[in-house]
Amino acid sequence: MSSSTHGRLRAGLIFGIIAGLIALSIIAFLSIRVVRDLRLLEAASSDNMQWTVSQGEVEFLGMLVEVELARLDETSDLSGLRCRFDIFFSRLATLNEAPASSGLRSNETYRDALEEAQGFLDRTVPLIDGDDDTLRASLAAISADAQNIRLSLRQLSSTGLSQFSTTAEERRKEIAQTLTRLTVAAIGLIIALALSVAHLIRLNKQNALRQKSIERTAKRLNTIIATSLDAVIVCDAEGVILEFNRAAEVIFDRTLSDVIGENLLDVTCPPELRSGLLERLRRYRDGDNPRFVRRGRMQLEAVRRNGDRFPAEVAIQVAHTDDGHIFIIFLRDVSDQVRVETELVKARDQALAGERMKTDFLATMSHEIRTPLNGLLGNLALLRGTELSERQQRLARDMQTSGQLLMRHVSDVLDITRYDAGNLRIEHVPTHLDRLVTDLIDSQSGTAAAQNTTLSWRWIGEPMHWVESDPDRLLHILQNLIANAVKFTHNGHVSITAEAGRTDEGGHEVLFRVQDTGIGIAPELRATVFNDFVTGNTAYDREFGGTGLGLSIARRFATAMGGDIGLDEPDGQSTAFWVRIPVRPAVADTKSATSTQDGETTAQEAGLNILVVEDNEINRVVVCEMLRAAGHRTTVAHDGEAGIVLAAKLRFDLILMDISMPVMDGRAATCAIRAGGGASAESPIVAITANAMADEQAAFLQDGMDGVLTKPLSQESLAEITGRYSVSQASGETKVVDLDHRHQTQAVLGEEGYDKLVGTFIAEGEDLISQLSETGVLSCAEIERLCHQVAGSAAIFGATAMQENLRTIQAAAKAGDRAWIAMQLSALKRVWEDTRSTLRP
Amino acid sequence: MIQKFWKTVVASLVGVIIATAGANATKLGKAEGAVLLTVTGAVTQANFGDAVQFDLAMLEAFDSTVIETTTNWTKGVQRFRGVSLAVLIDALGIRSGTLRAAAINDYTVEIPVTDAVKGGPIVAFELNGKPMSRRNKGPLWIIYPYDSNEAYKSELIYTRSIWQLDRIEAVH
Repeated sequence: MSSSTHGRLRAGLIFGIIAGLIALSIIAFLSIRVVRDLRLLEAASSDNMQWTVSQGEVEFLGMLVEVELARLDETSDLSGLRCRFDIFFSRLATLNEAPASSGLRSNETYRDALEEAQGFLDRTVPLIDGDDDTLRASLAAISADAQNIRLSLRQLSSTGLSQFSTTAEERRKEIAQTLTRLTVAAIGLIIALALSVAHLIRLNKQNALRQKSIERTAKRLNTIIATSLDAVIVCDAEGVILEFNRAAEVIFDRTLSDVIGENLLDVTCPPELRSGLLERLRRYRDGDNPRFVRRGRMQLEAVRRNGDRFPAEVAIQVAHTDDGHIFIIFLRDVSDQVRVETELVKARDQALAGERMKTDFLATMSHEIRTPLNGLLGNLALLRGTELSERQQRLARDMQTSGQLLMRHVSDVLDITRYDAGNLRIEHVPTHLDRLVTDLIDSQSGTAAAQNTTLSWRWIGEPMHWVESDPDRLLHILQNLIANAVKFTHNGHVSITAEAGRTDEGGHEVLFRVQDTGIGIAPELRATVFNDFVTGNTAYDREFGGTGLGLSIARRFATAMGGDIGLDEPDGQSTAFWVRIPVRPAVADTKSATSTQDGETTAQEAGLNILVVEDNEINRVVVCEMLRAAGHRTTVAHDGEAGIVLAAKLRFDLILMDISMPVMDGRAATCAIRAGGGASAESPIVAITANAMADEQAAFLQDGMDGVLTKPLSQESLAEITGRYSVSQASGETKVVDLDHRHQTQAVLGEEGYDKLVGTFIAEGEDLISQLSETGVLSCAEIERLCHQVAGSAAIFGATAMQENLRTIQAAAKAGDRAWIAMQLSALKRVWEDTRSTLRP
Repeated sequence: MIQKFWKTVVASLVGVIIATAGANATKLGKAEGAVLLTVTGAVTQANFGDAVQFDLAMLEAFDSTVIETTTNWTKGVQRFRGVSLAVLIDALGIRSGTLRAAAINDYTVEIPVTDAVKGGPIVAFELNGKPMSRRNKGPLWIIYPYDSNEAYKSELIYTRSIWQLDRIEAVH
């Protein structure tokens, strides 16, 4: 029902009540008047004055009769006359005095008549009170006098009569009027009552309708609750159960009559949970825990009658009634659901664990195979560098070819493992596409020529030379496609095209297409050609080698790079593979374009002092041989600890650090070297690892490493690294010794003089270092003086680093800052070691 | 039936006791002075034939009652003294019925005996300390205490307030 209807009803009721009250008060007022009038009538204060007045005339006539009788009978006793006179006298006195006739007395005619009568009495009293003779003698006169006032007495009567009838008429009218008003008011009241009754009847009807609708709703609700599959329990603020539906009976194995009035927690909760829940309920009641209800579903443990426990999903709602809060609990037995979930989770965990185990196994196996293979290939490379007979040379080459093939297979497996483990990270570096493709074609041209096949490549449309992409992955994909094409084409042609285009999203992409006129692909293989371990002609493959992983890896890489790979519909003689890779246009990167060439020359010109920390002997030997062959000096350590000891003592230009080693691994050793502050604390450290996932590489750099070399190590990759650090050393900001300057000094002094001076300088330096090392031996002023002196000597030999450090300490001494001096001391010592070893190796 | 029987028995017994009490009342003497009131009818004693005659002294002999009241026929508050009607009829053994009261001019009214109660009407013989003359509505006047009891302010009572009273006849 709307509020406006409600308001109207109320207004109607109020109107009825007010109208009724008004009618009632009017009736009450009128009733009082009627009662008063009735009482006036009843009180009859007048004692019917009309009677009294007329009695006056009657008594007068009575007296007159006595007077006439006495005149007729002279012997008569006069007492009768006297008595009648007295009676008349008393009547007139009453007319004169009676308060009820005061109104009458205001009437002039009446008053005059009364005075006349009184005059008669006044005149007659002395005669009546006189003796009998006098009275008897006066009888005639009294009679005459009486006859005279007889009219006055009549006048009294008639005036009184008319007066009284007027008054009575007025009174009657008044009463009639009051009664009329009373009737009107009564009718008004009846109408008001009738209206009120009508209104009440209407209200009653509406109430009945509403009642019916409420009953219908309640019935519907009850049906819903009763047939609900979830338990619905209602309890009051104290937890006393008020409702317990059929589903609740089934779930808890209780009957409604058992639980009504019981405490909810006693009926449904395991004993050890009760106090906790009770506390939460209490806090909710106190307003501390408003989120207890309405926070959605909770999973709780519930208990059946026989003590069986089961997981239940519970939602609690609160309603506010006149009797305070009531809680409505919706509860569902989720035993089955939980069991299924648990089983699913278990199954998933097992599957994941299996998958991880497989990946780990493959990664480990690949690593374990690659390490010895690396050694084998390295040694082969070295062996081929020695003097061999032509036959030996051929055998060694074949061994190397086989070894490289094996290495590629292992790498393929590792790539797949990484991709499937989600560890494949795609780079975005500037790449020169033309060069990449040209190099590839160069590498394949030998094979192609052997099969009398020609190779060509070109851009379709506008070329896009520089892009940001992952060159290694792209190389891998294209190599696979081109190598395959070459492999299966004899006396034919392999053409490669590149075409710059746009992706659907508006970015750039490059579409490569490798087309050959080879044997083609069997129709039944077309659909599966990108799957793992799919090979074409098994016998043929055996000849060329192939795991059947090449294209599946290509597919994985292309997908990882956001691109796509596919096979065109067969077109007569040719077979065409395409790969579409999204790219970003890039500007030419001259540095990376030239580094390789420059690196080699630099490395060969300036030999570096390199520490190789590697536990595997073969690898160690191979690396050292390769470095030596490139003109570097090498020092070896068998494990991390040995590496730390060496790095602390000696200063190396570069440290190559194997990662997985017994006793102490490469990462820990790197941290120790960086933190130890030894001679090589600042030297570049490059990790050597067979197992380098991208996130691991980041961790290496965080440990303080400067780069990562991935096994198998090639002479090229080593040259690249050594070249990088030769360059950085040559362009380093502080040179330990300016060699040009030294050479000049040497030339000026001659070999002998130079040697002598160097000896003096070294003695000076040693002395200074030892004195500075003992705190408190020298005053700040002396430190300043000595530093100045030794710095002067250092300048002669071009020992610029030493000179720089001494100046710093000199400034600190001048400022009197001993803490600073102490801090600079270790750096000075390191520089001194380098300087000394450079001047006198 | 039994109840009715017992009621009858009790009423009879009460009647006997009261009758005995009336018989034992003071014997009235003869009226020595002027006779002011003559009571006839159902009286239990008489001093003049079948009637009882009262002079002023005899009336004065009763315990007198004073009523101060206004009346319809006089001006201002009046002080009446007289013998209570109840006392009077009790002395005469009148217990029920009607008193037919008559005035000198033969005006007659009927007063039910039930009117004669304590605090009810008196037969006044003195007004404002003086005997009442015939011209002043004397010598006897039945006065109800109009002012002290509203019920007495009714026309019926006014008609019963008979003045110049000289006879009462007790009728059943």
